[in-house]
Amino acid sequence: MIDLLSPAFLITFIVGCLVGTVPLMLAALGETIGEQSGVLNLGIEGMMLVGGYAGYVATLSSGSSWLGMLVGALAGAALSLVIVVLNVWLGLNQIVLGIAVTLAGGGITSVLYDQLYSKTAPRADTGGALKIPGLSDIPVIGPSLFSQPGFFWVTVALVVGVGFFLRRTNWGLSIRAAGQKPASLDAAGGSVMRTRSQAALLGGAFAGLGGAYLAVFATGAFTPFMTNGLGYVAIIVTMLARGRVLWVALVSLLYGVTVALGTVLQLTSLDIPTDVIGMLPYLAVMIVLVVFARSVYISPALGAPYTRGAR
Amino acid sequence: MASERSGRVRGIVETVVRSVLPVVLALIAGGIILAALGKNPFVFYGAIVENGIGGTNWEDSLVMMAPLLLIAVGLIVVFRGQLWNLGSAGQYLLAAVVVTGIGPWALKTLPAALAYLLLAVAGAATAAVWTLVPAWLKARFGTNEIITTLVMSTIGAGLTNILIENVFQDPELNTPQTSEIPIADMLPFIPGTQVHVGFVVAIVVAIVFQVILSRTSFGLRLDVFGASPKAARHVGISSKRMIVLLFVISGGLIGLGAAMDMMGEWGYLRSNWNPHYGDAMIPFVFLARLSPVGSIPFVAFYAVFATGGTIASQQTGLSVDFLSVIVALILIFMTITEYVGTKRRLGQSYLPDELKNTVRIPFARLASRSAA
Amino acid sequence: MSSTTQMRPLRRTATRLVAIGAMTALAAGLSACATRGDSASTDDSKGREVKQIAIVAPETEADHGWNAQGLAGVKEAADSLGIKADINDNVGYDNTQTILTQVAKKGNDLVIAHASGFSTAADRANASTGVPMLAVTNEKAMVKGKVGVITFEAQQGAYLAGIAAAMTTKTKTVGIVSSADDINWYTMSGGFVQGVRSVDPSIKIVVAYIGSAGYADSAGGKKVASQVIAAGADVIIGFGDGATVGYVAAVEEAATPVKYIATIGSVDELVKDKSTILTTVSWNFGKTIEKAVKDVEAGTFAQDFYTLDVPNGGISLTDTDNMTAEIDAAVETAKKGIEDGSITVEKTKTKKEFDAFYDQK
Repeated sequence: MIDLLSPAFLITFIVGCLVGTVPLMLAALGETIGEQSGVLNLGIEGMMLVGGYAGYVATLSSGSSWLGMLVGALAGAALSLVIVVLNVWLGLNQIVLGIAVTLAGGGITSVLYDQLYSKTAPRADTGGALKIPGLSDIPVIGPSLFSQPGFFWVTVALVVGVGFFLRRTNWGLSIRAAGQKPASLDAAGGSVMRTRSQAALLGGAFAGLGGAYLAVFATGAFTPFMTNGLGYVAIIVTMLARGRVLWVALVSLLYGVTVALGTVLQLTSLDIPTDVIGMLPYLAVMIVLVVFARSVYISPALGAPYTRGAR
Repeated sequence: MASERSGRVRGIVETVVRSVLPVVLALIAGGIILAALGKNPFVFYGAIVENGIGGTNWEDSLVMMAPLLLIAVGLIVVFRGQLWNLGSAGQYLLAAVVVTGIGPWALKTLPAALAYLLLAVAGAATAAVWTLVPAWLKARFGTNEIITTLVMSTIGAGLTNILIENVFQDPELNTPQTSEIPIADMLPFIPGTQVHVGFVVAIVVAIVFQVILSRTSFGLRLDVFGASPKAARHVGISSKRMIVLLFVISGGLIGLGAAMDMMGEWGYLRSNWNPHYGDAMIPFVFLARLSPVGSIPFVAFYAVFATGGTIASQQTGLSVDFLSVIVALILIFMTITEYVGTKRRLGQSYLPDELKNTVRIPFARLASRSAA
Repeated sequence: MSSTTQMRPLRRTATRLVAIGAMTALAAGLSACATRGDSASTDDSKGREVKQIAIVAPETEADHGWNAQGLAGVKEAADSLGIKADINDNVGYDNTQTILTQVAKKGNDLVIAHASGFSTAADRANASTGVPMLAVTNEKAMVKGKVGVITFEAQQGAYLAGIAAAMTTKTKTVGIVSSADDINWYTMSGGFVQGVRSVDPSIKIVVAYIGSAGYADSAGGKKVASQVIAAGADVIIGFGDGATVGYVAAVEEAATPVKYIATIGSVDELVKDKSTILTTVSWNFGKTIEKAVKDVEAGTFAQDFYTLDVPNGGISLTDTDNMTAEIDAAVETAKKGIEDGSITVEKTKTKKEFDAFYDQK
């Protein structure tokens, strides 16, 4: 039996949690922005994958992980244009488009990776951790929480920022109005279409960031379909958090903990089959949905394209 | 008289064009991507045709159609009600594991026809039961079924693996897999071919459901419900019952598809295997305008694609996932052609009002500025 | 009005009876169809000329392991025999039987179904085409004269690796990272444990799994490898396929110096610094495939299992600068012991068997 409470082990556990949390949190943040404005983005998995691939390639070629993250965000936003143009502008079926985007994103990144990198599988240099002076010397928490790559802190800032913007600015108000009562936004002189487009593009950018983080920082490499359903988990997190950004962060963190816990459970003598461990987050979601069925709230205008004057 | 006939002909031509055009456009776009990657599109598509239809391969394509068509009908039923059953993967797998789990025993102890019937019912029932939780949540609380069916699908897939590895594991094998249904006990072939009768079952079911959906009162009620649940309530259709009924039928058909696939083609189920048939069928059922019989040619097209596509991809040196890109392109082109078609029919501008203004205003400003 | 409303339940029942009747008739009629045909009969005792062999592999050689070695082995055998090789890689796990059948019909005289999940499909493809098949891992798949099976005594190689690890570790802790519930991963884990304990039973061994089928999960691989390193291991043996990328990443980014033992295929291309690699438990398919081909030509195909083990060179340790003369000598002695039978390495085929073994002291 290894010492689970040893500092070295706790450090790795905390790092594992954070690594599992950040990509999900980024994607869920984006999905929340979109969902609050009334755009249900079902293609988030595809956007994460293109973000991951683009981020990986950019980091490889430039050596800078920051550039990689930026490129990943742009790639995710680019793919979300499909949703923006076809769903937000032209009102076409969001589910069909979402599935198309997921298939396209996954398929094209798999094909490109296979063509260009599968023979050599180069690893991207993540540039190491940003050790915060002073704080990173605190035992256990120091080498783990305070020695994360710089982008981890950008993520934290984004969580705070997005929360602030959604609740306290006019722009955030427009976004929420576009989702709840688009007619009143229209009447007030705002443009529902423009607001939703912005929200959807942001959603795509965040999803791209999430995928890029997964590829560049969590792994250092890209594997086809590496997100493994994380996009759908982001949708679930979004629906559970009901637009409250703090909840998005907390639920994502909970997910990260369960993932890291999975490995810990193995290292103990508990013999829980790995299949069960993998299913736990989903079982938890179903239980929540059943128990709290009455209060799981989804904005009324979600997914319904807005046409002025329509009932 | 003449104009009426030509109107009908035009209608048929238009329907065909709207159904086929997205596929053609997708193939062209796919060809462009292939060329960009340095591959010869004609060689690729030619290889698909050769490996999907040529020689005896057409039989393999028809075999593929059996589960695909049944799943397609299952999706059509529920999509017509504007209910999004996206959990077909988990439903398929659970049905498949039950069929392959008890299959060897059933076929050893019971007469063949009875065993097939029992297994088909077992598969259909298993998948139908798996839709009950999302169905109930939607009916009772309006819970978004996209999420519930997706989550149940993942749980179903995990549960399938657990069942395979712990309950139905073949004791003589070193890999996680159920015991085999012996080849001699699998569904018989259509005489003269190597296509199992599951294909016939699928075609019959498609025809039966085409009749049900278009000629019975149930079909009418479904259409009303799908168009507007509120209107449906006004005519006395209980939306709660309708929702559960539609989900159960959908699950049942998907489970039947799994049963045919297991009894006719595979005979065993491996752990950690998920063919995602349902996801592939979604674009095609829409292209077929949610018509069961109308979906047959599309399912056939995809079956040829899937059968020939693996070797074709591999011969071209391309990842097999390229096929998903084509499917995605078909979906995207389909939505666009639908849109263009609708707007054309209604005589409206292609651009929605807001967008028109957003585009017009800057141009108007430019024009006025240059005029000044 | 009233008469029709009374009629309706009756009509509905009638319709339902008709429907049920129709379905039963359909079922009865279908079962009257011809039962499955007999398998294509071939006279296997005569042998057939082999001009072209094929391999069907689920992934590409980029996995630096199972697929890479299989593909390399086929090319090696084909070159050595002067015949053609039909490479079908990256086929995935869908439509297996169809693909094997299609490949078999493309003028191949022997098809290697290179995945343990392909073995049942290989049986069926052989039954419908008559082309000899070579499956892997599942002894049940063997059909004398028609379907051969390659089995592995990889635990022997892992035993030797365990010796090397035990003699290299400075922290007296070694680690095993495994990507899946795979019989070959379990046998190698068991062999490794035995090898380590044969040198020094007090060395701690830490074991971690990515999941039940995390073969390609490189993010998961990095995570579990980091955790094993955090538990103090400074020599790690990794069972991966694609997950190996993650293992290697964790090893190279570790704060403390860690050495890596690769399995099945070489990871030289994956590491930035080759001195990180202690050795590789290499699986060499070439000679075995050659033997199978010769058997097909002689009409003696699949009379017994085809095995990869240490004595026949199918499983071997690669040499590196980290394999000091002392380690080489110890490994040689152990190898001789395996060859002459004085050392038997237990084969732990399941997690239960491995755990039971691991818990003995």
